Amino acid sequence: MAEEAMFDFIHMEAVSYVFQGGEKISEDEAISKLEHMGFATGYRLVERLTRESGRYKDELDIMKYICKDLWVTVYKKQIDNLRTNHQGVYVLHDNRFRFLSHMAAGKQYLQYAPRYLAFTCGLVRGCLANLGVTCVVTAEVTQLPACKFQIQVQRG
Amino acid sequence: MSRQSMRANDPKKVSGELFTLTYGSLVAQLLKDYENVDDVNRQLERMGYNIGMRLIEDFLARANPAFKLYLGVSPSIGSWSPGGDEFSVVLETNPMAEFVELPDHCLGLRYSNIMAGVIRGACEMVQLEVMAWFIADQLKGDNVTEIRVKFVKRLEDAIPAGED
Amino acid sequence: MTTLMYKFHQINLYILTDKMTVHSLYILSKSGGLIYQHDHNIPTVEHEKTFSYPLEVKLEVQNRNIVVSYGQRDGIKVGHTLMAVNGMKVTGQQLEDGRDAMLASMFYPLYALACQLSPEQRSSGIEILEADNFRMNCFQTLTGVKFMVISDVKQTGIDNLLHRVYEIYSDFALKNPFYSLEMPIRCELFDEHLKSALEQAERLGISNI
Repeated sequence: MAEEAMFDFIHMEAVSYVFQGGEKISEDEAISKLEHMGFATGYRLVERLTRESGRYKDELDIMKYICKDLWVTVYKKQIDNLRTNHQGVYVLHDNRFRFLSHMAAGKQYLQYAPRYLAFTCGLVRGCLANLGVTCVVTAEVTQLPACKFQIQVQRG
Repeated sequence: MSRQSMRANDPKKVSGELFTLTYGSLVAQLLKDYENVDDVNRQLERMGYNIGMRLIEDFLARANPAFKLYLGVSPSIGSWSPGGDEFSVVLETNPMAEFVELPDHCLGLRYSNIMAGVIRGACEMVQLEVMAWFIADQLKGDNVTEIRVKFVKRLEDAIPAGED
Repeated sequence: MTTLMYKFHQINLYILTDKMTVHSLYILSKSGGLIYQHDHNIPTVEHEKTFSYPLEVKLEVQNRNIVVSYGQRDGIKVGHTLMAVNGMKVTGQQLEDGRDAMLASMFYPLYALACQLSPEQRSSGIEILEADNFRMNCFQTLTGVKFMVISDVKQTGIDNLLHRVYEIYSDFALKNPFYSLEMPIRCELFDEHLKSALEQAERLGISNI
């Protein structure tokens, strides 16, 4: 409960740091810094999380792991809905995303919401990268505190 | 989606690690952004200060022992100065720095400096101006992590009536 | 009310019979600024009666609302609040803009004065202020934020409500990155949680009697 508050606050400070930080940087640059921090965190985190778990059968199995175990660890709930086109695109719906849940219910602050999703996009990309899946992760929000993350797997 | 049981992992431990790793990524980003390690130390302290000012209300609204609650470890308090205006917060283990090893080029980095900021911010909200700084750090080979807290003054103007 | 009587021959009064409510809530920052204000009045039990002119009940303005002052009948009692006339909502007397802020800022030195008046050292400020028609409870946190609730004298459980509001403040104002300390709280989610806490306090307050 309380350790969760620390995580929320540190994330909040990270966001406000990149957007109000000393040197003037563009929105894109700031978003990419957050994404990068998320990536570094996710890459290391999954290493520790998967210590005891067995091998994953396939890509879908990995996605299910992200939606359940990883999400519960980081965001205290499971992803509410996972969809895929079976061609490497996965869409994860979270109806009550942790970083948005203290913020608003509806359209208030909608324009700034993407700033609070960038870290998570990176976190997911980092986890997947360490599990051997190269991908691009984007996020979308139309109504807080719900949002969706789209994972596009890059086949090499 | 079916609600199956989680894989065996101590969720409490892992969520502590999550915080530790996130903090690590933040410090790494700061090191990249600033050339000077002192600037990083300052920035970390400032972030802690911002957190402390908000965290104190969370703590008071629920009334629980703070360090234990927010970091998962209980520090000991000691080494009071003769004047009684200075003391140390000693952590046997520092969960924030659990996976950290300082590289040679940033030995001047006070890695957990955010903690000093949190203490300063939280005290200021209860009308105490304090200074808080690290005097021992396990990352630098010390046996314990020790933060020294010095009372500067009561913020008289800010004291709410009836709270002397 | 005389103007109303001339206008309508048949008057349909919508009367709130249960007056036990929390009227309003104020939050003062540590420097004494009004950072939040909420007027709350949710009817619990209602009566709808059709009268013909002249009215058999007398109404008067009391404590911002229009209440029945004379003519107890058909379940309508003295002290009940008039909510609507012929489908038009009666909002009672609202304070003009800025007056709330003024009242709140007047309370601030009053609170400090109470500490000075105390014969004992280290007394708190005003915690409860009670009048015939309302009661004001004030809770000051260690950081100096004041939460004030104005309620009906019969309302119970205000202490719990005040602590709950403090929790909501720490969860939905302070954990909201868009909220800056000491500034007015304009977060919709905060509003929502606050309203449900007030409604819950009213429900519990009633069942306690």
